[in-house]
Amino acid sequence: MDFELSDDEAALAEAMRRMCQSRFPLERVRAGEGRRVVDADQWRALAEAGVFSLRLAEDDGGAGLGTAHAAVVFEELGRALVPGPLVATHVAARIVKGAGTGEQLVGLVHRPPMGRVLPVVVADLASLGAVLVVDEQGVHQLPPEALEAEPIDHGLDPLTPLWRLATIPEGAVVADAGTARELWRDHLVLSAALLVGMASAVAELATEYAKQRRQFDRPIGSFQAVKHLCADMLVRAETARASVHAAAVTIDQPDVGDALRAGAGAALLASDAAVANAKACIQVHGGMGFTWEVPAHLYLMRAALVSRGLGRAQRLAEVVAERL
Amino acid sequence: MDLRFGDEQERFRREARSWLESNVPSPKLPSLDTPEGFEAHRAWERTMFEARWSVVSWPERYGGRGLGLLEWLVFEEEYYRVQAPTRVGQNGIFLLAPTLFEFGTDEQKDRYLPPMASGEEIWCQGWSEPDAGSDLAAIRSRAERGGGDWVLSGQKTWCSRGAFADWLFGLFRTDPEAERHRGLTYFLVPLDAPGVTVRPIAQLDGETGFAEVFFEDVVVPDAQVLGEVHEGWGVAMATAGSERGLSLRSPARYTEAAGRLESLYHQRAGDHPARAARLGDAVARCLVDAEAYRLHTYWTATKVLAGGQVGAEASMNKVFWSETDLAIQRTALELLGADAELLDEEDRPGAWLDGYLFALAGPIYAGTNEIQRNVVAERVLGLPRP
Ligand SMILES: Cc1cc2nc3c(=O)[nH]c(=O)nc-3n(C[C@H](O)[C@H](O)[C@H](O)COP(=O)(O)OP(=O)(O)OC[C@H]3O[C@@H](n4cnc5c(N)ncnc54)[C@H](O)[C@@H]3O)c2cc1C
Repeated sequence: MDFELSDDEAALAEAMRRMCQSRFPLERVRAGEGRRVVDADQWRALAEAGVFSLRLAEDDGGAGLGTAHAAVVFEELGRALVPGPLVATHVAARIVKGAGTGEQLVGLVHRPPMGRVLPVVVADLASLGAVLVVDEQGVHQLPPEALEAEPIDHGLDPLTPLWRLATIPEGAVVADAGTARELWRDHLVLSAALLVGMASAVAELATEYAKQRRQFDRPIGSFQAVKHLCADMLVRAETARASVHAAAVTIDQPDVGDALRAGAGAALLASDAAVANAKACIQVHGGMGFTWEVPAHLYLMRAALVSRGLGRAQRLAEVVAERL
Repeated sequence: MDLRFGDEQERFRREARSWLESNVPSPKLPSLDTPEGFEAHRAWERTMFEARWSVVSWPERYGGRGLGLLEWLVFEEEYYRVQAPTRVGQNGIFLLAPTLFEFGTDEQKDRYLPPMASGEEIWCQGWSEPDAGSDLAAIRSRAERGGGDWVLSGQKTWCSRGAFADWLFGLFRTDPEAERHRGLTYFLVPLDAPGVTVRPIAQLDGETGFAEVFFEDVVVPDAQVLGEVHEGWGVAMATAGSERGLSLRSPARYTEAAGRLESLYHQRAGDHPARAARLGDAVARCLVDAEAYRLHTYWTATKVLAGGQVGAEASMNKVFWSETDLAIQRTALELLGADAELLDEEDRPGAWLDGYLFALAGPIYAGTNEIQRNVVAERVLGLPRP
């Protein structure tokens, strides 16, 4: 048992953080607000850093690393609020040619079970080269043109353009039901990693502000109410991080437990941490928190969007419960 | 105890309902945070004023109907029932006016109340400064004597609707030597006065719902001081009491939103039975909370009518209404799921999303909820200060 990051995991996280700081400083990310296509240069930078090919075998152009490595990478991407279909493209790399190298951007859609009502929302459609639809039968691949989609112009997250699908065609089956479950599980865990990164980023932002902003002749962080807001943020982020790492390790070492159950639990905690922390971050900033300038709301919107893509808390709790 | 309204009040309710139903603008007015939207809302205030509905509880000589607090609450219920426009004059009508009634001279009441009631003069509130938010007594904007008048300088911030308003009421330091809470004076300032600069601030939804206001040697006569010179803190606290307590956020606002949430719930139950089933408890809780706030307000109103005062208790209201609002909006978004951005009953995309975003400000404006909890703990409960 060793639940610390290994040296190379820590080094990878550090390298990712530096890459994000140089390629994705917040001003640059925010310059894309309202844009409906993913920036090609930025995407290439991500591909070169191995974001999409990390877990592919070396023979397939990958680094042959595990999900634990991917989790620390996605945590950094979440922290930097990097836009685009990151997780979907990463998990699709084992199926869609060109996804790992960054030539293809891939969307991932969970087909609602029979009888469930659409619409389904898909992000970044205009930039996608392929859409994978997962359902009980397996994984289906569709060209984006095959989708009857309508743009949504009042999206939750100003950095993520959305489309609404009225129907989802069948599409060619490209992988079996077992692979479909794995894709979905990996998507859950790596999205949770993004959320943990966001939860930490806003906790740090709030804590910094609480140390520096003064009212009543002292830092607002000296007031117990503010301390508790910040401390709760840290508790939520750290516990979520531990379960995301554990879920990732469980994917890599199946004998340690049930990866889907671990993933659903991690996603549950990470969603809550990211959304609640962003809201608390706004609160700690007072009036500043309600401005466009302070990015807390961008984290809130992104967190809400990513969480929604994972299924609501109750659904995740049911996945855990079914597997008890 | 008796929860029924009297015949007179019921008659008044019917009259208000019928006028509102035939006069409420349709389609909805454009956003308040645009120049056209602001003017459209101003015109609506005028329409109400002309039919004497804009300030029913004020004396007739200022444009009201001379009615009581309970009638006002009834009117508010009807107003929200038809989803009438946001009151662009709210800062004046609900915050400044009660303060003018308490502290204003007759000349001031005659001068300021009628154009406030008609929407001709829209007010914004100038308390906060960049370094004085929760710690309001730290304000640095000054007013000094000059040529028999007052000369104002400094900066205010977060003035809601300040981008398009006509007047500002605010606190300025008139005696820098005095203890922080003394030596402050409450001024009424026209925003078109020479030396005033208004700069809109983008809110998190991208709209310019508030503004910074800069004062550079702005000359204001004595007649525009409300209350006594150097006694502005007490006057401002009366205004803040209105903001947190009874008048700014009448319970109808939340019972109406809770009602819409209930309809949404029924509407979604058909298409998304599982989702509706698991959110049933949350919806019920919102309805119960909104109703509890309504009842609590009636209770407070009864006390006020019997000659009582609302003091620090207003802080309890503020915590409750702001958190109820957030719960209502959040539950609606959960019911909508991916549709939150897409739908509302009038095809206006994202109305609940907008409602949620604005609700996020509730625990911040009118004094943050952390501050309100301190007030309740220290001043209502008498717990020791740290
Ligand atoms: C939508 C909106 C509209 C507004 N409209 C107006 C307006 O029209 N006019 C106007 O003058 N102002 C307005 N405000 C400003 C509002 O009153 C202030 O934002 C608020 O009082 C908080 O001040 P601040 O922003 O400086 O935050 P700070 O005072 O810096 O607070 C930051 C954080 O510290 C906490 N904190 C500070 N002191 C304490 C303490 N002693 N104990 C515990 N916690 C503490 C706060 O609760 C908050 O979480 C508006 C704000 C918003 C968001």
